[in-house]
Amino acid sequence: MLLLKSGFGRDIIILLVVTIIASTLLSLVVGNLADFYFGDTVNELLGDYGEYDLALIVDKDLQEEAKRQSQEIIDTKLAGSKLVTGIELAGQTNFFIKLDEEYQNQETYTQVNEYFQNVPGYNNLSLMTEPRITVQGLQADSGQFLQDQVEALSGVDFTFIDGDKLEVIVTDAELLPDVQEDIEDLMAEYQVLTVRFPIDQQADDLLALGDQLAGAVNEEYQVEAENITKTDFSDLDSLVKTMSEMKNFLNSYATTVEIELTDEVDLQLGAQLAVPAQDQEQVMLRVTELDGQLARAVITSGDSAEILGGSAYQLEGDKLGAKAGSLQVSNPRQDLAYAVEQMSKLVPQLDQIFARTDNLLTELMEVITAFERLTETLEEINYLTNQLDRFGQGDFELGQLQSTLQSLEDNLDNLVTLINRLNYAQSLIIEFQEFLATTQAELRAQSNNLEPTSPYRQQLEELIANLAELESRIDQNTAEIIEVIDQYNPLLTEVTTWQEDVTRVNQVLSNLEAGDEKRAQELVGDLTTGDLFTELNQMHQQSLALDLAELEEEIISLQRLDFEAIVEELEYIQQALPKLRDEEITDSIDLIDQHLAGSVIPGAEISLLTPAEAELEGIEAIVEQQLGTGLSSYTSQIGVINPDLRGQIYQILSEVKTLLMALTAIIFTLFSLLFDQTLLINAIRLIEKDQNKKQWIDLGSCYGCLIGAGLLGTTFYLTGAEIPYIPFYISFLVGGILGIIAAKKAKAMNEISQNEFRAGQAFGFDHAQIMQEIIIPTSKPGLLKLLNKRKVYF
Amino acid sequence: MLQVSNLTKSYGSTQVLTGVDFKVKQGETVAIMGPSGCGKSTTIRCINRLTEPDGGEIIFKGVSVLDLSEDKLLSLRKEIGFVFQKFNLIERLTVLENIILPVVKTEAKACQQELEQKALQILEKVKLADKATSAIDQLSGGQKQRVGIARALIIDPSLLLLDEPTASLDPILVREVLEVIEELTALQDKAIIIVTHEVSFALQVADLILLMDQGQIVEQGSPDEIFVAPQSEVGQKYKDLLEYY
Ligand SMILES: Nc1ncnc2c1ncn2[C@@H]1O[C@H](COP(=O)(O)OP(=O)(O)OP(=O)(O)O)[C@@H](O)[C@H]1O
Ligand SMILES: [Mg+2]
Repeated sequence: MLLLKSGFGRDIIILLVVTIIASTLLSLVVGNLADFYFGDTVNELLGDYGEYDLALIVDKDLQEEAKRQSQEIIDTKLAGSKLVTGIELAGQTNFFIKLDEEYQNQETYTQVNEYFQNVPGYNNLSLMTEPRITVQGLQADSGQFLQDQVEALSGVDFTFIDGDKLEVIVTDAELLPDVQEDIEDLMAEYQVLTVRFPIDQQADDLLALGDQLAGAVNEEYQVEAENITKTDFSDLDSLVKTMSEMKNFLNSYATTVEIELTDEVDLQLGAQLAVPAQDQEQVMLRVTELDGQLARAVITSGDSAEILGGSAYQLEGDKLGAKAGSLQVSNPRQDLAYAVEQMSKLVPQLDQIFARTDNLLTELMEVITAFERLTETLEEINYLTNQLDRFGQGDFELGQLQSTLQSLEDNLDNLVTLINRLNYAQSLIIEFQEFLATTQAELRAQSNNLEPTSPYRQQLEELIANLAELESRIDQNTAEIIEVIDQYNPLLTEVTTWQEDVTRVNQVLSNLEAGDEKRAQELVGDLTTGDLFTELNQMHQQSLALDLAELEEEIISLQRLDFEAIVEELEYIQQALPKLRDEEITDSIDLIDQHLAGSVIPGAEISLLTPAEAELEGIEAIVEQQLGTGLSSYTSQIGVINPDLRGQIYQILSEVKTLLMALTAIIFTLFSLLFDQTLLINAIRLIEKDQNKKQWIDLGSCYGCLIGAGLLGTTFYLTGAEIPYIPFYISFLVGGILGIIAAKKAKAMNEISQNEFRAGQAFGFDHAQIMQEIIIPTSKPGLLKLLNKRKVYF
Repeated sequence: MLQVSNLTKSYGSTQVLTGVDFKVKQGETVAIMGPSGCGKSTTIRCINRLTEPDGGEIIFKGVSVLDLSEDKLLSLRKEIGFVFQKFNLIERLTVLENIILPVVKTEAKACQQELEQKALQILEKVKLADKATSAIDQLSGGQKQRVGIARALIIDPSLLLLDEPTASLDPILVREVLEVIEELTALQDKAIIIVTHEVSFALQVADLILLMDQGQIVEQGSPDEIFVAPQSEVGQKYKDLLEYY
């Protein structure tokens, strides 16, 4: 490097220093211009960094009133805070709020949403406080857990939880990266294990189940597992859940069509079929399930009520094609309507039960009194016949005999009436039992029409059980009566005959002349002979044990069931059923499906917080053992750090800025290499060639590479410019490559006149003088030439 | 004043000078002649080390040129004027500036006006007084070479080296250059070494002629000796050439 020895080294060093300074300055200027320009734009839109704390967005139409009320709220609840009207965008007005120092705390931020929620035209209240870090997507109730630890970090002013976000207010913007790193480290220590129940399977006490699982996990993996199962749900969760419930509801009332497919057809899921309908129309079906030769379909156009015939057809164009199979339509709405109709018919019948049971009860009471009177009557008859016996032995007065017979006749008449009454009661009991049996059967049929889980079905089942109970009680309590009555029945004719005999004897007696006692004695003796009397006497011995109290209880419990209410409820369901055609139901289900597609339907979930290093291998088995099958489990991060909007914009801007700076530095370096350094490279090559030495390497290229790397690397270092995602040392590499490129292009860029160079040598000029006086002044314009101006003589 | 002995030079494996010996006295005019590629230019450039010789000795005014330090070498060059075959003028400068340039660094103390004065005098000598402010590219080849000569003279050289000063010129222009050189040869304070193919010119002005062939001086002597009774093959050729005209 003879060029350097000649004192030209100083020139080169000055050139390099000036180049680096210029390049650095230019990069910084470009960077600051970008900052200035973009920063201004952002600040115009969002206010200066940290200027406001809240943005209240309201409908533009209501902004006057909204502003007045907001001001009022601020005056009463946030005294000292400022309200500023911001930009209007798309029909909405932004009010910016700067909270007074006093209100810069967790409590205010947690409540502030409620303060403004009722402002007219309220749309949204968003947080603007800066500097701030947001941890979002917090799993289950991990926020609380994280909050305590984050609040303990240095640089954190305060924190608050907003839904699934933890907002962290930082004391100083410069601390943001440190705090963010600390939070990241903190979150990296944990993982969340989530166990999800199937949507249709709800678990009762998730917290308890969570504790149970946490215990099992602790034991199995020897880690601290914390139960962070969430128990309250967001509005959106609820909406999604409602929609999926709605879908289930619609599904259970949608008409399903079962098609017994003919052998020839080959259908795919989703295939369209047509069914002839009224008015030359067609009802369209979509196949939703295929099970061998059985297809299930829903109605996509038309309604099941319009279907004609029992066959479905494939489509050829928009005409009916080959027969696909025979139809079986089941329309749960029609079924329900039928059930309701049948039930309403049952209501009067059920009413009858009460009337009749009442009736039966009185009847049975009568039977009891009848039995008592029967006993009395029999005793009377017994007494009278004893008297008659005595009369038969001739010891009587006629008048006395006549009155005794009259009394017997009356008593026998009573007896017949009583026995008839008992017969009636018997038939009544039997008939009522039959009635209960048929009513039960009819109710059972209705009950079968209802969903197994329906509360009405449960009520009906209760009713049926009650009726059955009543039936058996009546059975138990009346069996004896009926048996007793059955014994009286055959006697009835005999009693009647006897009664007739008594009447006849009495008539004969009344026609007898005084003194004809002999004839009377014979007649009475006939009356008291025979078995009937003995039989009657035996009957009298039997007692009748009848527990009516028990029956009464049963009837009261029946009355407690409100049949009419049940029917009313069923009618209400029928009324409340969406008045939809089948096609509309299918459309609605499709629509809900579309909306729900991709959204996670929140089934019940259990969440545990465990240390990140816990490897939960085989957790599925433990979940299954603890909570049953069909549950899915997975682990995830505790949350995601999200820098605020402006932070993000600024980050992008700073990336753009450093990229611009990097590009400026690269371009400047390239220019400097091409316009200045190429001349030096050529000079080096020329001088080296004059040496009486063999040249092993191209010193010019080495020099270019070195200078390129030095220039760019130093500029990058000084400006802090960087190409995003590319490490710093790469700048040296890029610079080196640029230098080599410059060396390659040196001859074309900045050729040195060898003749003039030689002339300089002949003058006795050293290399520095040759460069300064001869070579540089004729070179391409550049920093080198500029700096050389003060040295050159001409 | 100049003694060259056993000078050798090779480029890579080709030996260009295989041992050149000659002496030049004060005021003497020496012409070096020989076929193309025999090493004339190399020889003359070795004297002020525009070309670095491999070996041998060059004594100039009692100083060993090859042992000189870099600084001393540069001073030496300032005493030796050099005229290039291709003029080697600085294109961006005017005629006058070209002439002054070699001394601006060393004689910076001398005021510019003095230098200009001196340059104008020299220009007068080379018959270009009217072209002082002209740009180089406005000159003819002969004029350019005369500027080249003038530039070599600005340092008042005690030794003037001319490497084929007319080889790049057409015959008509050759004459005006040779006339200028002829005048210079008359000056007794300068030794002149001129490499030339102009046989008749050499005959006329040279005190000593060196005939070179294949990197060696094959014959040297006064023009009379060489062109009347040449000893070497090359000398014979030049004699034949003279007789041909
Ligand atoms: N820089 C160089 N590199 C390699 N070879 C060279 C170089 N300069 C000269 N030569 C070779 O050295 C030999 C002598 O060259 P030189 O220029 O001294 O010859 P010359 O006698 O001056 O010829 P001419 O009359 O053509 O000028 C030639 O063969 C030439 O090819
Ligand atoms: Mg030559």
